[in-house]
Amino acid sequence: MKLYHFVSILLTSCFASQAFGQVAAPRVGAVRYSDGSVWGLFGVSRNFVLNGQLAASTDAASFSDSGGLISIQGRIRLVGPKGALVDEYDSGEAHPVLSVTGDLTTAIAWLPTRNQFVRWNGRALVVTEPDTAALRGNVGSIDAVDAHHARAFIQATDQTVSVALISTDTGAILSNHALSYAHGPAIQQQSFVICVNDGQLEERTATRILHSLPFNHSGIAFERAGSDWIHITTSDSNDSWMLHITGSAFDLSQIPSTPQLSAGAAK
Amino acid sequence: MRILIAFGLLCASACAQDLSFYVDPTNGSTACSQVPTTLTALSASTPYQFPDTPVGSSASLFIQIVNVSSSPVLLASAYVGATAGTSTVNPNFTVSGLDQSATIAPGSCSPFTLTFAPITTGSLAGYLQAAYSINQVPNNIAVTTLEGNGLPPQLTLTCSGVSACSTNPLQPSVTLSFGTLTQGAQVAVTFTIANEGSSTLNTPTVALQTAQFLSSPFSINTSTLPATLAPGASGTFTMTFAPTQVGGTASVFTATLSVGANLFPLQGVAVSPTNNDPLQVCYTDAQGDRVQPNSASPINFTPVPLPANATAVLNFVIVNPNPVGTSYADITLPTTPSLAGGSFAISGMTLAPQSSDCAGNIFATPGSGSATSVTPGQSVDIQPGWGLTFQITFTAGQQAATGTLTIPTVSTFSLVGSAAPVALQLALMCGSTACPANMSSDQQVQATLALQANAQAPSSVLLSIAFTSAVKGISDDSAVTFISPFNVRTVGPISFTQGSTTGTFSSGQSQFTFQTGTTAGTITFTATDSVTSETQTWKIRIAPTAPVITSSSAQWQSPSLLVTLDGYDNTYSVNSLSYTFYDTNGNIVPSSPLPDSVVESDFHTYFFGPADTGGMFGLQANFPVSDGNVTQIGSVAVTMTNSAGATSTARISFQ
Repeated sequence: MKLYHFVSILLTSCFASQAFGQVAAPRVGAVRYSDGSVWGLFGVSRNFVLNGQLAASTDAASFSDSGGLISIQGRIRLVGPKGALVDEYDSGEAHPVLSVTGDLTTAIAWLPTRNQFVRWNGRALVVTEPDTAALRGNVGSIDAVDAHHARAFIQATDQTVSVALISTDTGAILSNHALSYAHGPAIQQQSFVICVNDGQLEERTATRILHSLPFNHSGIAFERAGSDWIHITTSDSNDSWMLHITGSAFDLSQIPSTPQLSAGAAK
Repeated sequence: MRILIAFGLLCASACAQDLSFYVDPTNGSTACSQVPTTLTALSASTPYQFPDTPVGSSASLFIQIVNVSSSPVLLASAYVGATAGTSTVNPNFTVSGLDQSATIAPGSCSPFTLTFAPITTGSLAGYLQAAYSINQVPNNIAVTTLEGNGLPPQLTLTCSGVSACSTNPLQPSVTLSFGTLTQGAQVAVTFTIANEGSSTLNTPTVALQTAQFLSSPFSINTSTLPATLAPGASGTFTMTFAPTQVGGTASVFTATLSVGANLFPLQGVAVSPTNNDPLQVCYTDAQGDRVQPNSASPINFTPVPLPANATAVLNFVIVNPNPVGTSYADITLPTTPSLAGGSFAISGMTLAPQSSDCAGNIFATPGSGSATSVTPGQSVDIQPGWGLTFQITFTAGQQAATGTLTIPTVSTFSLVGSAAPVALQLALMCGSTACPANMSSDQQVQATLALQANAQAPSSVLLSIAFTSAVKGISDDSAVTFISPFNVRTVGPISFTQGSTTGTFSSGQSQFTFQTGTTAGTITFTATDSVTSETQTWKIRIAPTAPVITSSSAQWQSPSLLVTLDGYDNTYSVNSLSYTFYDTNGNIVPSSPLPDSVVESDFHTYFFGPADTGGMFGLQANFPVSDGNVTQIGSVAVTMTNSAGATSTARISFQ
């Protein structure tokens, strides 16, 4: 959801012409705080500035650089890169699991009480009912793999994690296998899995750890704040963090609390 | 006092025919008829020299006046004048024993004694003169000039017991005051006669001469005086002034003390006992001066604020200023003084005689007796000349304190004491060590506040963070702030509980997190004591650095190339930006550089525009490829320059 304006500058290269983009504030995305408020956030790792409140009293949210899903009192809203409403769906779900990883066609929601997926097909938010018997446990995160498939990370009560591939056209569960390396929440980030394993926050494949950081907290939850940013909250701290993931970076930073939360905590 | 009549003309020569004056060494044993032939006449032209005489002593000369005329002479007076022909007497010479109303028949004698009693030292002269009448005609005769030399006194008189004794040694004719006493009181003065000469002297006769018809309030006791005084020895006697009657509100009593030939006027004043003075309250300040407080002004225990736990003590006394011995002037406190105010404590209540009242007036007779301790809460009978003493101690805390001293039936006084603010002695800790004086931009730092070793803990502090930009035209960087536990620039209160050297928030959390921002400058932390407002500051410098690119990406977006950079320039001075493209074989693809002026202008417009994001920037560049085959370009490297230097990325692969 970068908001850059481009100014083209024609160069004399034999096969490439060069354009210089105007400079702008580096925008992280949007982050949902523990009080349900959603705030815009500027910054680079280890240096963040809040950029105004975007919504209040949300149940869940997920953002990429191209847009986002916000659930307010069970009503799931798909918004564009500038916050304009694209479509909405009244799910009646108090705690939907939302995901937008790229453009708006990656927008998908899991409704745990209804065992339904809701996704944007380019024209409307549509419902898919999977084989509910196979999706046992708590769906911690989902993402749209392509236009016809979704991926769900399912956390069992013993903290073991499995990942299921589901046809969003038929609802059929095409595969479901356990992630032996994950013990707690997990979320897909591009080609890799972000998970928690033995006090470490890891970016990994099935066989290899790309990056890891110590992160010894309980009640960890992931929520996507931007295409390259994952917001992390825990149940044992009032603090929250932002994980920046790029091809080379795997940075974990604290993010500022909101003025309301600061005022409330100070009382 | 005798009145001397001065005559306008002295008959020094003519009158000498009427009266002659002879020195009689036999002290009157020589028959008058033999005087003119056996004794030496005084001559107007020849001065008579007295022997050298110490002040306080005297030398006497027996004189016979002989009427050498043929007519009776009526003698009026004989005296020693200060100058020739004057009626003013010379106090160093005296005439005594003269029968001044005598008529001297022709050839007859009339004796008198001429005494030289110097009241001062040095050469002294007087003029012996006589007044008489003969045949109804008054005459005045200059007999002779008298000379003498006053030596330093052999005997000195000093006293003690009243303030007037401060003029010791006493001078004859100078009034000695016994002060003002309330009727019924008394004061005793001890006099000392000392022989300062080199030979033993007879102790002069000491007597009290009173003029009161009734009994005098003055009395004397000479029983301890010795008969003689060896060189260097002294003897004492006492006089007491004890007025028992007062006419009206006050009476002045006088008397004369005679010591040998020297006379000392005495005076004492008696006042009615109905004028009893009330109790006085005073304390001794730091300079040792007695101060009488008033209820309208607080008693300040600390002209200079004290450090915590230090103490200041003022010694108080409640004095009965009435004269000692006036038992009817006893004053009773219904209960001892009491205090309110936790920083003040009263102790050491003692009933004791005093030498003076609160105004500094020394009691004519100091109170006497033994001091006794007084139990708090009991009634206290304070006699004249006595006082109730006690101490009040102020113990400084961490701020000013007030209290109240209540003295029943007398007054209530406010007490104040001030405490010197305790300097904060904290350490800003970044982990297990003190935060460094220099840090870099784009940091999140977890820190705590800790007490320095052996430092006194403040009750609580507020900790604030402020930023001073080193970039001209930039005043602040909003990212420089606490982000945890609160996203504010002042956090707290941070308290220091007993036994812990690390400050904690009310939640029990001790750690806080702050950001160093992306602007060169100085971060200032200020801890402020919640009670005393004392402050302590720490400064952390953020040095200018070359641009920092925190993340980068390159994408084929046919028919263009998209290069995205995020980072910061803490000098706000990016002035050059170059992209170097490489084909998939790693060969440089020629391209023209971006004009620096465009880069500098765009960055300047952004940094100094409305965005409140410090030195952070995001830059996305779009490069259209002329033939649309973007996959020929494999990677790109970017170099960015500001006033502090240049930074280059590694090759960023296109994806």
